[in-house]
Amino acid sequence: MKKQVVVISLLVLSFVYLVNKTTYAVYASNVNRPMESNVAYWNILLNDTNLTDTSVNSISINNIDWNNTHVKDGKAAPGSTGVINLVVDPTSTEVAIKITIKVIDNTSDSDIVLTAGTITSSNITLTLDEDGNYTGIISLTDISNGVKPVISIPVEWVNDDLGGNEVVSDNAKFLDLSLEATQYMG
Amino acid sequence: MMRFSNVKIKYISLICFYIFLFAFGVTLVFADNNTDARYESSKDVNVNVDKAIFLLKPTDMIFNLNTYEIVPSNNKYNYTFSIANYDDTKQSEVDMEYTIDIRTTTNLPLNISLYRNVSDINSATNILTKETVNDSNGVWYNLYKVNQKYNLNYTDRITDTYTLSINFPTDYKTNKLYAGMMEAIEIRISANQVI
Repeated sequence: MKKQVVVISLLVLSFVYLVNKTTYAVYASNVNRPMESNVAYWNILLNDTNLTDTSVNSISINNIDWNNTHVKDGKAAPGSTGVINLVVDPTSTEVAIKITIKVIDNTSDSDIVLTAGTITSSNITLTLDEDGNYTGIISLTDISNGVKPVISIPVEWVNDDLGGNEVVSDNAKFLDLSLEATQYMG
Repeated sequence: MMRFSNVKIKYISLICFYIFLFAFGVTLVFADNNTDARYESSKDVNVNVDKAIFLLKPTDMIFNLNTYEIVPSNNKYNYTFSIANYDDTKQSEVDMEYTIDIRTTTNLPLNISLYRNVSDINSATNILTKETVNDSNGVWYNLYKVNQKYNLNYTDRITDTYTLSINFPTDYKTNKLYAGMMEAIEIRISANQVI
């Protein structure tokens, strides 16, 4: 008798558990739309381009602020120095954000034309990690206060002064740059 | 009351165990999905750089310099060429500076002069200085240098016009040593971007 009770109990427990799971799953899918209103919004603009848009593979930066005295405005040549400004606009995001910037420049790949300096940002502190990546946190408070960090990447087209006629091809890669935003869990 | 044999009890217990395992697994799957819900977005950033044009355009640099016509006389044989920072479609977008030097063999005792942006060379100053040097192979040659760099600023369309003047002094008119001799003349323009 005792064994029978045990067996039946196990059966009942299994059945109840499964039914409960199934019920929960169905409930969750059925109330999908009301649940959306409670999901934190994730929307970040990088120089007015949506970073969270999965249909876009890359973002183009054309507005490098070149500091030239012997070169036409907006143009670059060996010896030119400038700054790439990336404006991060997380205004409508409802979670804290961790920003990671990865740069590969001429110092690590000679096929790349530009050399990058120390990356800084307004409003947030960027930290250089051991992999050579810069990371920073945009807190939820900052986002609520409308903070839009401007990440500044100083670049230089180093004049190697070889006196040769080397020409940078039209297909040359000037800088290998990527930006990653992840939800900051603390 | 129905009685279960020990074998049946074991069998049913095993089934229950598997059902539990299955249910537990389903739970894990759902739980795992929840863990992966962290937001994450990343993009490559294409850095587009508009390269400045470096354009130096020498013109009329091929001279019809007929050595048979260069004979000892008081005449000067003049050849004009120019250097510009633009062509028909483009203009240099960087400041440039350039210099000129002329190398000649030492076969003929020619007087070579160069004048810049003048309409009358007779009242102009020769901008060349001459020295005779030998190269690493021991070959002697005359090196005429312009001891100044000239600027071509990108903000302007600039053309510098040069007149190369060659004179074979009449003093050598009766000297048969130079009959049939040839002289090579090389004009070299060196330009670089101003940094």
